[in-house]
Amino acid sequence: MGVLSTLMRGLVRGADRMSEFTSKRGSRTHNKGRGARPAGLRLSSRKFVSIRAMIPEFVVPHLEGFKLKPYVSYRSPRGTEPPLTAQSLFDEVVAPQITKDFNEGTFNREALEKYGLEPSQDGKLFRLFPKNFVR
Amino acid sequence: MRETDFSPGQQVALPLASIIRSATCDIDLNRGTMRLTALLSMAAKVVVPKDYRFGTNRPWTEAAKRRNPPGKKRRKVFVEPLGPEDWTILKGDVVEILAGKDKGKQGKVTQVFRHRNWVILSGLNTHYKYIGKTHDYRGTYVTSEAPLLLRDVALVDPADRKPTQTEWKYTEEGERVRVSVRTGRIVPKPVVERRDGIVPQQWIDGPKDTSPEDTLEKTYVPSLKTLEEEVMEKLGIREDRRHRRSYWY
Repeated sequence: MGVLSTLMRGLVRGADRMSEFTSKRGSRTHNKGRGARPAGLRLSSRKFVSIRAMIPEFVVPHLEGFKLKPYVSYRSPRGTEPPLTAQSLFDEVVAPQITKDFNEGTFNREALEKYGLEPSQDGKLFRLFPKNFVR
Repeated sequence: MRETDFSPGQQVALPLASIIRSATCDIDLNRGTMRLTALLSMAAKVVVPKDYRFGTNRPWTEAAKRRNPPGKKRRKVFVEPLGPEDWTILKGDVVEILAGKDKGKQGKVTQVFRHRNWVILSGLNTHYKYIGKTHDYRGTYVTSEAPLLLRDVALVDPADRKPTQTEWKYTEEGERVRVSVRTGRIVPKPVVERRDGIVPQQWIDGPKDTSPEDTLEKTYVPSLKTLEEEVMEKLGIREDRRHRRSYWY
């Protein structure tokens, strides 16, 4: 028998063992979650106390007068901006400051923090590595 | 031997694609185990032998595989050799038929087969057939177009709308265009249509579409802050709490 017909026969005869067992399968009393994170604490008295800080809240700036919309028109041509890289960001933001200070003579190799150098990610709310925010 | 759970006389038509999609299986081949999805995608890219007879069906479709199984050899079909630079008829052109059942009619080219110098026009040179026949249903009666050879078809001159022979020539700017031999008028290239039928230049923006000017406006100010830090600064949110130290393994 060919491979595919054997597969078909196996699926016709028995249950599908290889698919993921999600909350859509099983009996209606079977309660299986889909990986939602808890938004509070379960007490010993089996009550649930919801904690405001654990519930995610969207912080959105005021969008009045904002011209960009969800979709882009088909008439727009391809843009000609080069893609943003770390090198280009450095060249645009940091390099002018460093050249200005160097020409004035106030460039100090030990004090690079004022140009944006972060020697370690400790103490920051949004760390770049390991990335602790979801974009 | 286990008993099957359907009666032997009944025909069970199982949709093959849905069954295969629900289960990911490993198939043992001579060269080792391989996933079913890999096997199916391997079959999609078909390698065609040198004396393959190209038909109207694309070589990776089931109909073409049924007509040209790997071991068959068919009588060779002779095709006038025409290089890719000399090919004058493009998909979407308006073209007139010079010989055959629909001689003298003009139509738009929907498909071009370079292997056999064929061209299929929409709605011309048709015959009728039944599609989707089953044992008790006669099928849908559809009209299907037959391919026409390149020598039986000629591009239509846009000036006087008569068929002409065309050649590739260079304009003064250096652009390569098709020029009709009889009148000398340039035959413009047909508009390449998108699969979804949208013509970008004639698109009318909906309420959720950003206009092209707004899209191309450069409002980015490069800075070393992340988006989250910038938004916090703008809205005046101060966050002094820091995450608790946690570990994962």
